Amino acid sequence: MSENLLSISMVVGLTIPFVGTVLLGIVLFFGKKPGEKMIGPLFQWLTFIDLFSFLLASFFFVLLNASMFRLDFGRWFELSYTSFDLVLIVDELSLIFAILTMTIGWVVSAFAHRYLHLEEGYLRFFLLFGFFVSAMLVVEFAGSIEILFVGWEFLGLSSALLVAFFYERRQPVDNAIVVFSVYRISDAALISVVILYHHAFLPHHPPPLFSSMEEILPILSTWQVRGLAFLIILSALGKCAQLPFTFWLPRAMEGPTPSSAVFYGALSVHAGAFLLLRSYPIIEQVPAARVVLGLFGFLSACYATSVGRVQADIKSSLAYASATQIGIILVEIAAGFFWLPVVHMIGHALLRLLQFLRTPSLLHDLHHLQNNIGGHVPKTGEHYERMLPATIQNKLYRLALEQGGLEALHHRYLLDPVQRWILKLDRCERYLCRLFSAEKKPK
Amino acid sequence: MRSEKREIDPISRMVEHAAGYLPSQGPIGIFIHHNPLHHLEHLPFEEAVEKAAKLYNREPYLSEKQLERALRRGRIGHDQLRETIAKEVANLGKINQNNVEIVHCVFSALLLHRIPPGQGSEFTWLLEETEVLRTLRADIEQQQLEHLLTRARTRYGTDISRETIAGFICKELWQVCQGLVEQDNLYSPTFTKEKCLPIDPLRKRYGDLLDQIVSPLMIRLAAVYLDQGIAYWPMPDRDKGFYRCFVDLYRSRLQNFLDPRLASLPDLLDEESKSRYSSEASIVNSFKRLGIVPNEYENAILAALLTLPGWAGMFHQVELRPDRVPVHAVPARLVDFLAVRLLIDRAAIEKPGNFSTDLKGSSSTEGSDQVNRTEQRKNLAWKLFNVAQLLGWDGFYLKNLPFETIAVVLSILDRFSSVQRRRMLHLALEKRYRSNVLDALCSPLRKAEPIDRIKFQMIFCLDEREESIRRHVEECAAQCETFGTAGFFGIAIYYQGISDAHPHPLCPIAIKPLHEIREFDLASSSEDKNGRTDPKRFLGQAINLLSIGSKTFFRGSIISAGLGFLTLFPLISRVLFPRFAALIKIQGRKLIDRPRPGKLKIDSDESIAPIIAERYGFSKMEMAGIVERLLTDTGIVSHLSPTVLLVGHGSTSLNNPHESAHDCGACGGGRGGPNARAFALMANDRIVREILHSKGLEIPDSTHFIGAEHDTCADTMVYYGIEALSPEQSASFTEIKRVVDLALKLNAKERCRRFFGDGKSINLIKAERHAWVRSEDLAQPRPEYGHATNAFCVIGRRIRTKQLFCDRRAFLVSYDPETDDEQGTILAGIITAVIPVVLGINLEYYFGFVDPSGYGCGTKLPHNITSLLGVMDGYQSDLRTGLPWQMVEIHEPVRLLVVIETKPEILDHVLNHNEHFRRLIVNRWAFLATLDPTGSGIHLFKNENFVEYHSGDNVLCSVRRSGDWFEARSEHLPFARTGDTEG
Repeated sequence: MSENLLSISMVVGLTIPFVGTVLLGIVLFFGKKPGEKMIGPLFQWLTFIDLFSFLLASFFFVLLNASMFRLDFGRWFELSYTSFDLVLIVDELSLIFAILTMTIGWVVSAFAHRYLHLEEGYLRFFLLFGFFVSAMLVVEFAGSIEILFVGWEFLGLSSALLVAFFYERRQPVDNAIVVFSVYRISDAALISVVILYHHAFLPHHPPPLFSSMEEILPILSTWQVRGLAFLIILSALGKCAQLPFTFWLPRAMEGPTPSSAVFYGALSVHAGAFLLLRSYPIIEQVPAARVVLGLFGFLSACYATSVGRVQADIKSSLAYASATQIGIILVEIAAGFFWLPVVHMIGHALLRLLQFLRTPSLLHDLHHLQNNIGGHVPKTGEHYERMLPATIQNKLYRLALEQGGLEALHHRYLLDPVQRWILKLDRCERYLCRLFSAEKKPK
Repeated sequence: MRSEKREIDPISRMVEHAAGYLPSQGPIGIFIHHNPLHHLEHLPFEEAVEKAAKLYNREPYLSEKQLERALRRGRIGHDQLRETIAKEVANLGKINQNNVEIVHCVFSALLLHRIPPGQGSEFTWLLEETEVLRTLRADIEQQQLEHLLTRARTRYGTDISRETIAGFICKELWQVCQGLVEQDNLYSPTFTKEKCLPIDPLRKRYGDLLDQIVSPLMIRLAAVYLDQGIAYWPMPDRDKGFYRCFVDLYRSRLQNFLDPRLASLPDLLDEESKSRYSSEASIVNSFKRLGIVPNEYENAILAALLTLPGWAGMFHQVELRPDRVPVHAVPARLVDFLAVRLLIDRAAIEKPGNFSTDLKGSSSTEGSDQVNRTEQRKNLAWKLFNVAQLLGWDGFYLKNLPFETIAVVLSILDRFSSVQRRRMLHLALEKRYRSNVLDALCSPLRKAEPIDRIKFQMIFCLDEREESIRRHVEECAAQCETFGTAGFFGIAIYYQGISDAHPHPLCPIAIKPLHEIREFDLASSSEDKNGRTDPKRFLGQAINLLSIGSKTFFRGSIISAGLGFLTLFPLISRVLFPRFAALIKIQGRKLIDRPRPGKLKIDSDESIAPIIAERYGFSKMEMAGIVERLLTDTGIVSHLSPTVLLVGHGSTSLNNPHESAHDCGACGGGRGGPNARAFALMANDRIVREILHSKGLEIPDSTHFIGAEHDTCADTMVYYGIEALSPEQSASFTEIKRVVDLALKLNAKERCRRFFGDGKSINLIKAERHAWVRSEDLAQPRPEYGHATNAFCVIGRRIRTKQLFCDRRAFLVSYDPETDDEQGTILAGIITAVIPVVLGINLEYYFGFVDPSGYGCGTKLPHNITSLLGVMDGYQSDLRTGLPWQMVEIHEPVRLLVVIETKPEILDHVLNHNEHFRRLIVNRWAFLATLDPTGSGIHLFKNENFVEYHSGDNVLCSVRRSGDWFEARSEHLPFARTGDTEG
């Protein structure tokens, strides 16, 4: 009984945002523009119903008293040597994060409805936001690495497109490319996981990764497990804006405030930590991977907190604060905790969301604070001046101000060569186009 | 040494000169409305905007699209178009009388219909992919169309289908047009190469690439240097000045690792540091190294500053007015900024490889003159082709026109540009609104209320947002009289309230206050020295610690893991139930912070040391002077009623970096409440009244002044000093408060009509609530519309504007011409005080609307508060000054029309003694008219003279109350008479 009810509420919860978004996409594709009065409240209701159905699902899940529940949608396709199963898993982790996602989705769609009122990109925002929420759900409930990858890709795409929301200016587009390039590294790592995993099982059909750890771990060789673990960590580091990729996070603050809030304060930036929690049984097998993860988390947190302290704009300052906390969350995961990072992530996501949404209030809040304190807000950072000799102080300050030069590295070794290649390809294409379309040469 | 000095001195002069081109907006916490083109005020308006358009790459007038919408909506009248055309034709010079008619028709066709540009890729596309050369335009008027078709049918036969015949017409016409423009003896196009403004040598050589390398670093440095407290760790040694600070910080050998594109920076800076340059000397040195010759300096400086005008402007503002900086006045200097910029430019240029790829692309636009000439002829043919269709001319007709006519038409078409079209349409739009205003003002006078029946008087700020509430108060209580004056009530002060951390200026930007006034806590004895109750202070510190802590490492993890989930409650309540959340907040605040009576101390006091100003408080003589000035200026002095309310105003909103742009303009972006309160204290003072009595100015003993502050966003009113009223005064105050409360609701309702674009009707209670919730809503980017729609200013008695529905578009200044002398002394004083403020507001909105992302700061949505001084777009950009789109979107950009109730001779006299004002009027930055104090005659100032205005045929509608007029309408409303008892 509760099993059926759980399945029903899960299916409802999963389909609603997806169907809503796709419908909006179709309508937009055919050039119709539904009114704001319809779309805003519609999304608010969709997310609310969704939230409700996930709450119901958790209720039934508790009744069921199982540690994990599998939702099987059969096999997508099958070849002689491999197959792809459509499997979702419902457990504490996925339900908690689904509820968090939908709560935030609910609040933010109400916020955005008013905040983006009369904005040209209003519908585009909701379309991308809908895709993002659906992708987030796919990531959270994915039972196999292939399904997770689909959600992962959509997450990155919707995120990059929202960074480039104001595409009429150059900067948002440039920064969206930076963000996207890091996401591609992360995606590449994840798809390598898929390939590695399928290879490991040749010539047999691999079982869905996340739902059957007990089945798979004995079959894989140590090297394969190591490979999987490190690739997953790499993928998570990119998505979580940890070292050496931290520089993309403040650059992502180009979109409207609610999208910055939900992506880089609350949800998207935690997706990597979620992936680590989900695949923890694999990482657990490799002590070296845990050490590396913990080390990167710790270094990232130190790095981000130092860089964040010199930022003079509120959104960058919050972005680095987020990266700091996520670094600590990764350390917690590496240390083998489960509930601590979960609670930390939820608390952090909600806190940052509110802080980001309130960024435009900074001056107003400062005035209130001065009123309460009864004078100027106490100065900060004086201990740096006291404790450090001037030369070291200057060097440290510069390193922090220029974000440790990570960006220059990324540009020099990755982004610029790739962009040059793409420009070459573009020139090639133009040439071919001219050749075949017999276009007259412009005078 | 000597020669060096000769080179350095002009540098600071040139920088100072270039600074004029930078936005002069200071820190965003005190927003000042000003004319963004203040440095071009010596030019006629049209010339100035078009020059600025080229210089800054901005829009001069409304866009073609907006103007077309205005045409469709009837905001541009045909009469005015005809007048504008007539004026333009007159400017053309001698035209044969036979051709005048045709020229008029040509202009009218050009203005009423848009012709796509005849060059560029859109044109290529039109010719290749559409049927423009084979079908007639769709917007040809019926008569002309019939004419074309019938004539064609007589030539080609009657049985041909309409499409085919249209094809014939077009083909022939296009051929004829092309033929005509080729005939050099007919008209040879004036071949003018687009005159570019001089660009600087650097950017000519290196293009935008240089800025792409240098600007991000420059932005980062400027932000941390000016930072007022966002960064936890402030930049070290800021007191040394920006240039020194930069040189010391960037000498360390980290550069190659941090940004290899600027690898030579440390070497450069070593040299700088060794030679101990001043910033000016460093600039000269940089110019020499960059190969810029002295006569290029001026351009080079301007261009270097205009790459980041917002930041450069902020450096200049902090340098000029350190008293307006919110927390920490750093020693910023614009020359430092320039010197640093040039150093980084040099480093970028010296590094080989930075400019290897894109260098050659920049200067390839030369093209041969021959190509340009043919293009231009084609463009001309295209214009002729379109105009001919619109006028109903076919090829045959065109060919047979007299040569002279064709030559005239071609010369008009050749010179006609999009900017000219926009200018003419814009002028017609303004003209129409002007004639509406003047017609409304010259309608017959109302009868004045008998003086003895007036129970109370209210003096408001002249702000156009207070127009509506004045109207509503008067509609609610006939025995009330209202006045308007600059909302600082003549009191220029630095003010520190109980709730302020430090004093801030409350007066127009042009004045630097001499006096300081503070509010003291009455109940301070039992509490700490600042008079703050402990729980409040504790809460403040706790919040501060939490918000700083949440961004740090250890504290952050404890806060986010331990307390983070608690933010769910404010999140849901604030966003989803803003009204509920605001109510809780107010209740909560009451718990920890009981409202305490603060006491304003306005008397001068040697024992109190002023923080910023020279002196604390005012002497009694000064007070008497202030009171006298205001009472005589407004003309209230002859008939003071028992209660006089002085209403300053301010605005509260959440999540709005531009909150202060909604505050009082006359208080220099502050709130006028303290000024109103101080004024009431002064006017109630016994000694002040005695001094006034000795000067012959009588204030009856029965008259009592009360200060108040109107929150224009939440539509609420706070009164000061109520507890000190006598029982009698208290009773009449209760009555007044009842009237004002009703008026506030009506005012909220009138504002709501703009918020709902769809003309939804809303009842009073809902309206009141809606306006209030807007001020408390985190997700609301438009808490109020501010000064949007402001359009004209009336200086005169209220009776001239009473019961006139001005749609919150009029600045109303009280002035009684009868009390003034023949030289207009009082008037001259009012003009000096009021016009700069009002004009600043008007032009800030004009430019904010015509180019929202250029002169304004674009949409609010991605704004990122930086250094507590301004906003950037997203991650990093120039500091965005000006108004956000959300504040101006309902505006109609028309230049200010100032109507003064006086005689032309008097005003002429005043004009001649106020050079600045005169220059503004002569250069048409605003329009000026007089309204005859005894009758309804109007004289407009035109070409240095006052010309009588003949009223048009606009008839005013009459309604009973203004509520009947705006009910369920959201667009700009025409004038109307209210208080119609029959209707």
